[in-house]
Amino acid sequence: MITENAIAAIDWLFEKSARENLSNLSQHDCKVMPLLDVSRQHVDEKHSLVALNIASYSFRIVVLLDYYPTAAALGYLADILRIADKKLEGQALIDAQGEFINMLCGVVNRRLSTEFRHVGMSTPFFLNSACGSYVAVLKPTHAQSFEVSIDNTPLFKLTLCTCVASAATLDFHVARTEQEEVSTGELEFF
Amino acid sequence: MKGNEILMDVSVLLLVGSGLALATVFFWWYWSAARRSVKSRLYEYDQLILDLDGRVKVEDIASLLSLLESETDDLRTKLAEKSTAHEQMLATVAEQFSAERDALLVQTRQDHVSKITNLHDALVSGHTLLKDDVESLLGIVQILDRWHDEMQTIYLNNCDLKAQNEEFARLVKSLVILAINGSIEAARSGEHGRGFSVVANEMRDLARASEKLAHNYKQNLHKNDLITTTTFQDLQASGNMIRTVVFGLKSTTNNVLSIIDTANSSL
Repeated sequence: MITENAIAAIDWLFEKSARENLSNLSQHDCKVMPLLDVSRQHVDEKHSLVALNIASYSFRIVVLLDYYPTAAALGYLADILRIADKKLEGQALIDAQGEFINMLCGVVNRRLSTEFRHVGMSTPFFLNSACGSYVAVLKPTHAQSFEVSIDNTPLFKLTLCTCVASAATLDFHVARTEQEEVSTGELEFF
Repeated sequence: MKGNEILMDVSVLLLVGSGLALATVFFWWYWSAARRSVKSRLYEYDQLILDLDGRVKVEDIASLLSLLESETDDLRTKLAEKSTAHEQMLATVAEQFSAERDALLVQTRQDHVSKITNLHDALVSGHTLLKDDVESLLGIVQILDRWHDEMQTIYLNNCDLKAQNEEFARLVKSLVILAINGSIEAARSGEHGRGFSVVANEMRDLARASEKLAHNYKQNLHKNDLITTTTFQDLQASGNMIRTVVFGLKSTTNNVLSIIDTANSSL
């Protein structure tokens, strides 16, 4: 079971992390909009669906990031990661997409570590974008999708599937007035 | 003349008498005062005599003083002897107490050292076991690597299955086209091709069913990918979490060992 507070907290932590990680594009208009249909997916071979897990004893959050493959979106991704060569492709694109989801989830993981004594994070893994249509098979306790855009250019679709152990209740609260933390980076093990 | 002389004589007599009377009065007053003074002194002497009655006589004072000094010397000697005896007794008691206290302290220290040594040995033994377990638990990294390899194997196998399914879908599409062509050819053959037309239609139906099956199989492979990947990631994330816990335990056990060593060195 998951409480409304916990749902709001998780959504807010990811929204905050997205905004923090897009902070070097602060002169642009950044929007994080919730989507009504979680399973609706852009089934396109060019799409990259990247999955990452944040886990604790009684719950896990499956994070799915569906990067839009438009030139504008890739250009913004290069700006976010401060990559000089904006033409991301091949392994450089895979590395950039993996790095961004790591940064996004790293901020949330650090913040969750203050609420829960022990929390761990996986490495990113690339999937066929069609897999994103089947999040229901994960039997999430709660699932929500967001579309993150800059200057009305959609960058990626973020899907959060929170799975809570059947005998447990996930309940915590994060104040929306919380100060943005200064990112100190995180050492992730690959 | 004679009368005057008489008067003069009388006057002289009176004067002399008066003078005598005054002298007498004065003498009486003086004598009374002197008498009172003498009486007073006599009274004081009497009192002094009374006070001095029962006192030691001056001639006895020296002998009495000598006696007193002798007694005082005796008393001093006795007091000094008693004082020496008391001091000796006190010293003996203090020595006994000190010896008993030292013996008790030594015994208590030995008991404590023995207990602490036992406790130290037990803690060191427990710490060694805990340290070994912690080191062993850190092997979870190897488990994660193994799971990662297995995950890669499953994922690659899924990719093979997808490729085979795609191939199967292509074959099925070819089969559908072949069945359609067969139906057309059967129609052209007229009456003779009627039996072949039935077979071609059956083939087409089977091909469409196979196509649907291939599509469902493809969907299931995608689901399988998602389930497998996220399950592996759950294991990986949980493994990282456990590894963090184990690192914390390792740090704590090192701190405990440091405390044990410090305690042991202070014995």
